Amino acid sequence: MSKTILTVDDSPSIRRMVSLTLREAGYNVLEAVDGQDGFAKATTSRVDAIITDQNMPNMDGISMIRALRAHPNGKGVPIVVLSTDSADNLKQQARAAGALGWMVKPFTQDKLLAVMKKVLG
Amino acid sequence: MSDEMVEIFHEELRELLESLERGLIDLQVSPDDEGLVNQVFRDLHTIKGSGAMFGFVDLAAFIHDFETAFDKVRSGQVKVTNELIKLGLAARDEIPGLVEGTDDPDGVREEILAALTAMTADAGDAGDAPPAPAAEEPLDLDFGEPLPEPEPETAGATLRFTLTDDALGLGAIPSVVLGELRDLGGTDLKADISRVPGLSDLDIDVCYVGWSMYFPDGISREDIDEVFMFAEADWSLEEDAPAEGGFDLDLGELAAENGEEQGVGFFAPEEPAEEPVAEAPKAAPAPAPAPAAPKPPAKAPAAKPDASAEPAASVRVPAARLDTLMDSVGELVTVEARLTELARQSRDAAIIATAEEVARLAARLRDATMTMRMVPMRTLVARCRRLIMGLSDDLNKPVEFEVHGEETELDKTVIEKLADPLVHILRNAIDHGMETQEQRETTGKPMIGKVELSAVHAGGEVLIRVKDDGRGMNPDVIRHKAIERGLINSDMVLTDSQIFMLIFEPGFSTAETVTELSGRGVGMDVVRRTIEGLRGNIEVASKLGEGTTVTLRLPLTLAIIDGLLIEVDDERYTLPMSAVKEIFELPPEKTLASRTGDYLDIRGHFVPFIRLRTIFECTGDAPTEQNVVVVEAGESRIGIVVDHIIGTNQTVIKQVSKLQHSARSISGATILGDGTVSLIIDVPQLLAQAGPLVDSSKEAAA
Repeated sequence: MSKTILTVDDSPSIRRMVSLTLREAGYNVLEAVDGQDGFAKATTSRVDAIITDQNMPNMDGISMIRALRAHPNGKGVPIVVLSTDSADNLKQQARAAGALGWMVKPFTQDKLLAVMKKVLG
Repeated sequence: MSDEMVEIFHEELRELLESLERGLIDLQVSPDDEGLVNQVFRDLHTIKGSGAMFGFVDLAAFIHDFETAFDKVRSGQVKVTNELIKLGLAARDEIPGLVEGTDDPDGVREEILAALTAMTADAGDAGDAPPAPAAEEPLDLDFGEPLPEPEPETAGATLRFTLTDDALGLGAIPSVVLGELRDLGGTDLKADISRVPGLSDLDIDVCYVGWSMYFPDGISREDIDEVFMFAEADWSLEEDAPAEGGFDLDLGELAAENGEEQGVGFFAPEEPAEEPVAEAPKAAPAPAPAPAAPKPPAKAPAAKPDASAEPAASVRVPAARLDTLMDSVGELVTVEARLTELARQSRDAAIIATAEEVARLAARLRDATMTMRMVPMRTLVARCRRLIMGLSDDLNKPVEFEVHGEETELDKTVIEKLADPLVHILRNAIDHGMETQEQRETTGKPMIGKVELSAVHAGGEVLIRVKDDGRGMNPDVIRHKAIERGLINSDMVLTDSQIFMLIFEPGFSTAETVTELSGRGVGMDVVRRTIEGLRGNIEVASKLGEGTTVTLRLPLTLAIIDGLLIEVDDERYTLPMSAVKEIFELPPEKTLASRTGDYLDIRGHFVPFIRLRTIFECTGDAPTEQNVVVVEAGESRIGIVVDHIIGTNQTVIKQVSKLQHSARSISGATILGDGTVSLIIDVPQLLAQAGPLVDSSKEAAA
């Protein structure tokens, strides 16, 4: 059974790029437009991994991760933070919130697939 | 990168640019609005992020500096000033060019960035901070590149590792790690279960088992690092014949280095003691003021819910699809009308009930489709604001721009077509309407002029008003000009409002000199034509010395209306339901046509009425019992005498051809349920035809 990945990003183009890339590689993909939406989808659907942006309206990535880790359905799901920022400060925050790893934008489609392969096997 | 993705990016960029522009302009009005600052910042940030993703490296670099400037605004180091907004807008205008890859021969972009940097640099950081830390942003890194191989490890090595206690909770998968290590040549896998506690102390979220693996050909630190990228572990590597001391690897350092280089990484364990010194400036928590380090953009404010600045969650749909939907709904409505008619004829209760259900659903579908097409005026207002800012600057006529009813919604097509006329009217208001500062001073007016734009719903219409407190129009001058240009004869008697309407005649311009801004010959006649093309109309009121008000009256939508079906001389006509106020029986004493006294006393108000039979020059005799439909357009009310009221229907408007253009009281046609055609009566035009009557009605009502 193919794995389901949730992509959370307020930018439709990035969301679409992530989801097209992953779909072509055989993953199921769910999309969410911000942290709130991401939280709702991650807690109500079966999700094997989450790729999330940080800077989003309504709820940012880190807040979403924190909320997910506090939710019974959100434990143990690998979450990778996507960000234009490579600032350590942000990474530490994401780590403390419960992210598994991070990936800096821009990235290539190959890079994305490599990361997902590492995360999900 | 597929075309579809690129198309989506462009679409998104357009919206972001619009939002950015609006944000900047609104920010000028309320410079202290944190929500707006955050919105501007986020728009920039998203443009940068998506731009870089789609390969617009120049764009990303440009935005980076732009963003840095606004980060200082966000952190409160720099105040929002008009200058900053202007530069921001100028920078924003460069973005489309950057995306299209146009050259910048005059170095405008550099200039704008330099100005932005200069404006924001002197504040807050005492000048000694380096400007934008561009090096922080690895924009073109590629994970796919093979990693530089360090000195080959020939000796065998044993790797021991334990996943960190929270690794499972974070989603790390041990089997993935073991599989990868095996692929790297690992053998002799052994589990270390010494840490596994008794059942009562066991936490199922913790991986207590450690492993060891032997690599006969050795393994590089980088390979290990990559394996543990998404599965954090404490590990150590022991070589068979350690040649140069131990390999007590510093995980923190590796993590940081690796991440910085590849743009991908896992998180270093939080062991501050192990932070290598070289990394300290970057990794230091630095709660103390560290002005040199620009704050990472992802600070807390972004997380603050800010209802005013956030767009509602929405789905983007190409406008063409909406149009298709609208067309289909239009057809459905027509077919539904037919069905209702057939059901009525069948006299079969079940069929009638079903038809009613279909009618109800069709109405709901129609309303839903209409709402989808509704766009708030706000999208237009930003453009207007900006135009006014620019004009008032260029002409040195300071103007205050007030907007009411930004949230008023109009059909998307109407909004799109409204932009040009509105811009033209505003331009006229400032260019022609406003006096110069000196003139205003001598006439004792406030130095700062005022232009008001308001939009309100009124029945099935939207009234858009542009009001200025400028010099107003002089009917004598306009009359003179119109005679000069041969638009009217010198002996024509015209009211002031008729004279003002002359400015909408082709070829009319009151500007004494043709300026660059307006009066290019394609003047107000185009405005009128566009508005009339939208089935709207335009009115002007002006008082010399006090100002001018232009009112645009526009239908909410272009495609479907609720109609009242009426009959006159065996022909059926449709009145837009939005105009219908009341329906009466014509009192018997009024049934005979008379030259005067065609008034009805409606609850103490005299309302004039007209007979469609007279207007349409019908020959037959009127039935003994007639009805009066009281309609309203603008501020006027009038009764329309008809033979019969048939009922209401949903009407899909079909434009009549140009050949019928002279029939001014007809605005379109619709196909009825039985397949016959019914003409739609244009109420404002009908009122205009009954002009003298309606004018006197105001006095009668007063």
